[in-house]
Amino acid sequence: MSGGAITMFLFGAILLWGGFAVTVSIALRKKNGKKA
Amino acid sequence: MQQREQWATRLGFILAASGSAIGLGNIWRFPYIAYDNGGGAFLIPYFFALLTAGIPILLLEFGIGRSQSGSAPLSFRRLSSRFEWLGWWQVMISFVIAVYYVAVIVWAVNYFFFSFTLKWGSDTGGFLFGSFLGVPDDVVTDSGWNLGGIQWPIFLTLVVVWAVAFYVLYNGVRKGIERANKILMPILIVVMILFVIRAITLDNAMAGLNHLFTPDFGKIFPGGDNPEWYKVWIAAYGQVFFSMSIAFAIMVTYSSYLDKKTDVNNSGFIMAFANSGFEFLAAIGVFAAIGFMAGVAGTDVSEVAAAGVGLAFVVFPQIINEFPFLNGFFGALFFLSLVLAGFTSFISILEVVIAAVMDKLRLTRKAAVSWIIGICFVVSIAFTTGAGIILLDIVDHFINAYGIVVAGLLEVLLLGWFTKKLDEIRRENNLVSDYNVGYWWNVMIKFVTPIVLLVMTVLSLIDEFKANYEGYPTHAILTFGWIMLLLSIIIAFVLAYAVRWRDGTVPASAKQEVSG
Repeated sequence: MSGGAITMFLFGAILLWGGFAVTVSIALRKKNGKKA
Repeated sequence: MQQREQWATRLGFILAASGSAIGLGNIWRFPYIAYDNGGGAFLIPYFFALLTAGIPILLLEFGIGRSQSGSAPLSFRRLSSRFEWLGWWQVMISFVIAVYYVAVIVWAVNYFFFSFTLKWGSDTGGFLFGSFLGVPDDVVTDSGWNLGGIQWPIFLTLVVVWAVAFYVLYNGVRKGIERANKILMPILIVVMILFVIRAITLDNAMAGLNHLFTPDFGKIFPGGDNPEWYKVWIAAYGQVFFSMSIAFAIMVTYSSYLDKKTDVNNSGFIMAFANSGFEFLAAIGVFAAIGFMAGVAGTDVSEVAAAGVGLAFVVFPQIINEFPFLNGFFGALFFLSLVLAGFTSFISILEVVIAAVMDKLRLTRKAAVSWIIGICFVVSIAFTTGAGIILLDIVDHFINAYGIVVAGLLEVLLLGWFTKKLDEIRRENNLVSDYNVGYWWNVMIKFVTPIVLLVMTVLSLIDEFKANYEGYPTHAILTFGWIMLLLSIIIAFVLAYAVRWRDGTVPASAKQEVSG
């Protein structure tokens, strides 16, 4: 893949998969929706 | 007053909402839309649209459902009696989508089994439209329709799919919908990961990914080589909007089964990222496979790239034919992913109608499921005829371009401008959620989303009046496009204002508003 393609792949992966991972980890830390 | 059903767990709710959002469009629409609108650069307007429209509307619908604890008509009525019809219109949209969406799941089920023997042969297009769908040469002309008769293998599969949907929905929210999603969603993720791993290890896969991700920034910003750059941004908003199951009452219905203390803000973000992350993953698998096919055929990736029915049932069978080994396994993975993604969305669409009927008529779930699935099944038989794919194409176009988009526009206008409930909904959402959502959310709902949805509607209308959609005859466009839409609105008004609520459904505050 070209440099531009790799950059945009990483951009998408970090934002979308990373966003998923971060929000799930927040949910796991704050059990059952109750604020810490 | 009977107790409203509830999700057993927050995980069950998130899986069900994600299962609804992750549908056929994630696999067969997003990859091509991204490729055709600037490649990797498309991710910028896409992510922007996700944050400024997709997630805000999702949180709005979660807030409405959770706070009003009702199906869309009941929730909208509790917010303002003048807008019950909008809830029913969204229910009618779901009804229409359910009766044709099932047909695509049925095709995918058949193709799942065809994969093992490569039954489609070398002429995959001829097989699809000829021996499988039985589309007559003169299916629709200026003088009328030639339905071509029922395709019995498709009909029989239709019966099976409806029977499974009946079983799931008959068992209710916890034991039916939640349990089904807890089983099917992990399977879908595993199947998709296996599919992607196999696809990216094919020869020439990287050529496909290069085409998908190479950014063309000139297409998405003014001053580049694309004078219609704004259409790329509209396409991004459209993809986010259609992909997230918003504006046709699903998320209002699903969140109405939430415990009042359950988080909605973070659940909304999780669901949105799950949905977008899945379509990003699917795009990698699809374009890796397309790159392989282009290499085999000795053509450019652009010659092979396609979307929708053409991608799934014409191009993919060609790709599967060319596989070096284990063709059937790869084909089965692809079509199984379509079946699973489609089915979890399908049951959510049906639940919208079932919940609305249960609320208004005070029917038991068993009675409502039996009636609704019975009626939907009968109507869906039209899509098993030789003309089914054409009917589906027209109805799908109009219900998406005008039904969902206009219903979404009215929804944000109602909540943002007429009932002035945004602050209340945001405050209540924040009280129970993992983190707060700020005033930016109000701005998105009041200004950004209405403007974008209005522009989408106007652009669609301009295209509509330039030429008949796909060149179909005017009578077909009128009957299954405009008249179908008009009927859906009329029926919505009838259901809202000619059918009485059973006693005890609408709370005192809303009744006072009605009489006042």
